[in-house]
Formats: sequence, structure tokens, C-alpha cells
Amino acid sequence: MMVRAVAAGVVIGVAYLLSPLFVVTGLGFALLIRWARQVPDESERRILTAILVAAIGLRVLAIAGLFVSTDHASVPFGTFFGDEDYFIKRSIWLRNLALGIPISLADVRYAYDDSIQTSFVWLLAALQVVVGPSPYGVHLVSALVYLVGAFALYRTVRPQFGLPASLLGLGLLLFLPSLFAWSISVLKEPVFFALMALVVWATMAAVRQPSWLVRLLAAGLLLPVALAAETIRDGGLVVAGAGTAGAIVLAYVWSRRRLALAVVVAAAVATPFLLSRSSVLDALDRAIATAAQRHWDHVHAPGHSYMILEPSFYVSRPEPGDLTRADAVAYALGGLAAYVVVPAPWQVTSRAELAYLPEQLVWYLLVALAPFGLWAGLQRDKWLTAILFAHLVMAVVLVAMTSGNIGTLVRHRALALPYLVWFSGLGLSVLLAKLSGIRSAVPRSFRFPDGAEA
Amino acid sequence: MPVIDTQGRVFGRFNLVDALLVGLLIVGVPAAFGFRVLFRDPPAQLSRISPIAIDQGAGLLIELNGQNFRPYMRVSFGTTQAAGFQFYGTTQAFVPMPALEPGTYDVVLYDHAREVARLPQAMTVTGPMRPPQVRLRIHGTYVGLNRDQAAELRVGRPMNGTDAAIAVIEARSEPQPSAARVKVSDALTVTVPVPERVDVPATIVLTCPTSVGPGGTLRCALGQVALVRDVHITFQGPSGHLLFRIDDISPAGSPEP
Repeated sequence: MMVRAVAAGVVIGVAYLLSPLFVVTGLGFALLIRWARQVPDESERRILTAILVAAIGLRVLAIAGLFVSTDHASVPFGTFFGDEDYFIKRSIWLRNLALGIPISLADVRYAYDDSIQTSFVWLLAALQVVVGPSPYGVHLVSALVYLVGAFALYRTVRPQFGLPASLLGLGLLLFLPSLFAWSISVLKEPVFFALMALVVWATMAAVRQPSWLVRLLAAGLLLPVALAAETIRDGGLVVAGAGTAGAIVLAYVWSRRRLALAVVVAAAVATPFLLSRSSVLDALDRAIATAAQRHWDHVHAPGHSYMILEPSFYVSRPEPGDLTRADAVAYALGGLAAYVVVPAPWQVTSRAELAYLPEQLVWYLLVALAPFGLWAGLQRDKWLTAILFAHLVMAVVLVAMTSGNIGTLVRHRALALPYLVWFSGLGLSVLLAKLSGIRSAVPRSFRFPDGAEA
Repeated sequence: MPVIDTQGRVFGRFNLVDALLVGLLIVGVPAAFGFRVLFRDPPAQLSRISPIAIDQGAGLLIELNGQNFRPYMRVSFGTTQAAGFQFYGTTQAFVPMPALEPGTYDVVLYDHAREVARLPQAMTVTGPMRPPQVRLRIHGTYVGLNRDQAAELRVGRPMNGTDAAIAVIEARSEPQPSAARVKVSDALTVTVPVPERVDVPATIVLTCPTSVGPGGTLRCALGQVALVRDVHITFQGPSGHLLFRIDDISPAGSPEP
């Protein structure tokens, strides 16, 4: 035993010398797998272990492949996406400045670049102050953070949505090609996703945990996490805040049918009245015009763009008041439709878009299954369904109303997928069960060994 | 015989974890060290530059010699970074000399993240001393103002321009309907009225720092823009940026044209 321990120590020491973050994240992955194995069911435990080991192994291989395939005589380090170069270099410059290591004056200017403000850079810098410059190790950190967020969501939905739906959702989160790529990137996506997963978990814990102390702590966690998400990416606070508030309203109203009916009737009566008031219409006009301006900017940016309105709309940048009521409605509906449909198979013009086409077809299937999952989810657990649905709506609307570039749309659709996949998985599970005449396999009550339901 | 049996033994003999550990110790660790020795980037070194002295304003390429250069490296002379780094191999590179004041400078080599080598006091720039700044009287017009901005333009009011230039209004006229002079070709400039805006003809005294440009010429330029007729200069006004169109320039202190 002593010999094994010494040998293991030597190996870990050498590995730490070569890449500290490889050892640190390795420990993190081991703890993640240990957490995953704390399920009561033996077969579920084996499946989860296999899925996570495969997910970890593929990601480590991909990152190792990046290292091996990079010509370090020509570039300092390799990246999967162009923006990673900016984040990694900027974080190393900040790290060197903090440690008093001389850097170029031009790099000092870029290190404090005002045009892109995100705490993500500072996070990377702080990490590399501790472990040294790690342009490849930070990819492993992204992978670990993403996997923890994905499994946290799995733990949250599993008790209510059942094993097949939850495993399918987890599998999609871990192996859908675009999500796989984002999960190992040194971009804001993995950290933002993990924070949003934490918001969902905290909301469910605040609602469902038996201990009042835990519920209070979970509720207290929501605001700091939402603020942290806002520092990572603009809109984080809106998604978390509006998503949580919308979830509370939806869950409260859904369980009270008369109240729900009253809300619908009141909305039907109030809507024409509100729309007759000029202040309300002006506010709506400004909001639509602002969204339309951002869409217009995206359409005119380099890259493959798509249009929502008639070509005449894109001649000059729209101002508030340029859009008629009919145009505003068409814009809103068209934006949502484009969010789902684009890039359609007939819109493919490049090899990258052609390579993405299979995943686009999977996306169509996920969207088609989601309504079935949403309905089934409301029958099983209104709170969980309301939380996921409210976050999904926020993630969809924020992107659908402002996007205009296909590449950007595909990238930002990843913000909605972590919520959508659970509904799609549940929808498929329910449909297959109905087709085969099998009753629901979800137990009436399900608890993990630590006593948590979510 | 299975490769790994039900008790976790490789070929029925060795514990799997033990086998992995031995494999890592015997193969992995030496391989890792060998990989690091063979492929780790050796530190770059800077041994000499040529020429070591130039005249101010001479736009030369400076040759660098050393070891372990990489294409993505940068060079600065003192705190001024060169505009490029022409990589000719791991021992040679050329960089364009930036415009520097007379003096002696360190030549510093950087990789993507930090300083990697330095030649102290390696480059000398020679040249005559020049006046740090000049005063110019410029006749022109503040263009495209609203009524409030026009009212803020008072004689004696200083305004900041780019590159530490400062202008003081010496005289001004009443606001006129705004008209933009647009150069549509080398031979044709058209005047386009700008509705709901006014222009204010004015004379300003501009104090601008001097710099040495290509060919060693002494320049007074704001943001790399040469001061000629119909050029617009930007100033920071009390309530936003103001554009000043140049009509005529003379040294400050000269009689009125």
C-alpha cells in the first residue's frame, strides 16, 4: 500500500509539474463521478458512470488533440475558436501585471480593454496567478465546470421526469456536437451555463427542500449567483431574475385553475385597453425598434445573415416610429420563427453550415417534442416545469428578437438548449410510453441517498 | 483468458490499478520529461541589433539577431512598440523603426505574454532639438451645431482637441444656416445644406504639440490628420464633441489675412 501511494504521488507530482490544472481538474472529475454514483439504483449508477467517463474522456482527448495538432513554433498556443485567443492572452497579461512581470505597453492597454467587459477574464487571470500560465489547462476547467452544471441539472430533473427522459437530456447536453464544442472552449458559455444551472437548482431547493434553513440559504443564493452571471455575460441577471419570477407566477397560477382562468380573462380584457394607451404603445415601439436595430446591425455585419422582414426594411437603420403595428407584430413572430427554422437546409451555403445540418435536424426534433414534454412536466411537477420553461422563454426571446447572423444565432441557441433538452427527453419518453402502452415509470417518490429530491 | 477478469486483474495476474501505475511510472513519466525537454519552447535571446544609431525620422528596418525567435514576437524601443515583426528565422528578424525623439533606448523583445529579452541602451536616435509645440491661428467654422451648442461658443473659451492640442476662440460671428462642404471628387466639392443646424464662423488659436513625421519633417497634426483647408478638427465642447472646419491657417501673431 505504501509503495502504491508513493508511486501514485510521484506520478501526480510529475503531472502537476507539467500541467497543474490537469491534476486539479482530474480531482474535480473524480469527485464528479463520485457524486454521480450516489444514486440508489445500480443500473442507473452504471449508466451514469459510463456516460460521464465517456464525456470526460472525449473532452480530454479533444483538448490533448488540440495540443498535439498545434504548431507551437508558429503560434504560442492553439484554440478551438478565435475569441479564445483574446480571452487567454488577456488573462495572462492581467496575471503578469498582478505579479509584476514586465509586459509590452500595448498589452497593458489591451489587458484593460473597455470594449469587452466580463469578469470571466478576471476569473481566468486569478486562476493562472495560482497555477501559472495554462492556455490548455483552462480548457479542462471549462469542461469540468460544464459537466458539473449538466449533472446538477440532471439531479434536479431526475426525481420528477424519470430516468429515460433525464438520461436522454443529459446525453444531449454532453454529446450534442455544438454543446460539446462550447463545453471545452475558453469562452463565457461553460461558466454562464453552470451559473444558470445553479440558479435552477437553488430555485428548486428553495421550493422543495424539507429543511427551512436549506430553503432560506438556497433562496439567498439566487441573487449573488444571478449578479455573478450578469458580470460574466450581459443579460444574465435578466434571464435569472425574469426566469425565476416567471416560474413563480406560472407555478402559482397553474395549480389554481380558477385563478388561471381569471388571469386569462383579465388579460383578454386588459390587452385592448392597454394597447389603446399611447404610453404603452410608445414603450412597445421603443422596445421593438431597439430590438430591430440590433437585428439590423447583425444582418449588416460580416457573415451569413438572415432577414426577418421585407428587404426594403434593411435599406437604412430603423428608428423608433419607423415600424408600423403590423410590422412590429410581423417582426416579433418572424423572429421567433427564424429562431427555430434558421438555418433551414436550403439556406446552407458553406461547409461549416453543411456540417451543422445534422444537428439542425436534431434541433427540429427537439423543438417538436418539447410541447409534449412541457405538458407532461406540468402534470408531474409544476414548479420544476415552470422554472425550466420560464428560463427557456427568456433565453429564446432575448436572442430571437435581436439576432440576424446565422453563426451568432446557432451559438446563442446554446443558451436555450440546457432547458429545452429536458422537455424534449420527457416528450419522447411519454410518446414512446403511450405508443407502447407502458404506464409511466416514474416512482411516486424518489430521493437520492443524501435525502434530496432535487 | 480475458484481458481484465472479474476481479480487476490484467491477464489474471496483475491488479489493474497497479498495472496502470507501473505503466505510468516506467513509461509515462520518462516520456513526459522527454517530451518537455524536446518540445518545450526554449527562451528567446537577443544578441545584437543593426544599425545601432539612426537619425530622427529615418524610417529604417532594424535587423535583430539572437536565438529562438518566434513569428508572434514583438519588439519595443523603450516603451514604443514597433509596428511589425518580420520573422526571417529563429535567429533573425526585422522591425520597422518607430518615430522616436532623440535619445538612447532599450530594445526589448516580447513573446505573446511577457518580456523575454532586453538589450539595454542599444539604440541611439540622433537629431536636432525641436520646439515642443507651436501656435497657429486658424480661420474656419464650427459646423452642424444646434442652437444651444452655438450659444456655448464664447470668446476666450478653451477647448481640448486630440493629441493634447488646445484651442482658444479668438473671435466668432453670428450663427448661419449650416452647410456641409462635401468633396465628391478631386475636382468637385459640393455644398449641402444641413436642415435645423447652424454654423458659427470663428477664429481660433490652436496650440499643438509637434512631432517628427516621415522624412524627418516637423509636423503639427491632430490624430494623424494634416491641417489643410476643408479638414475637420474635433474638439471637446461643454456638451459634446464639436467639429471645426478649417478655411485658412497662419502662425499665431501674424497680421489678419
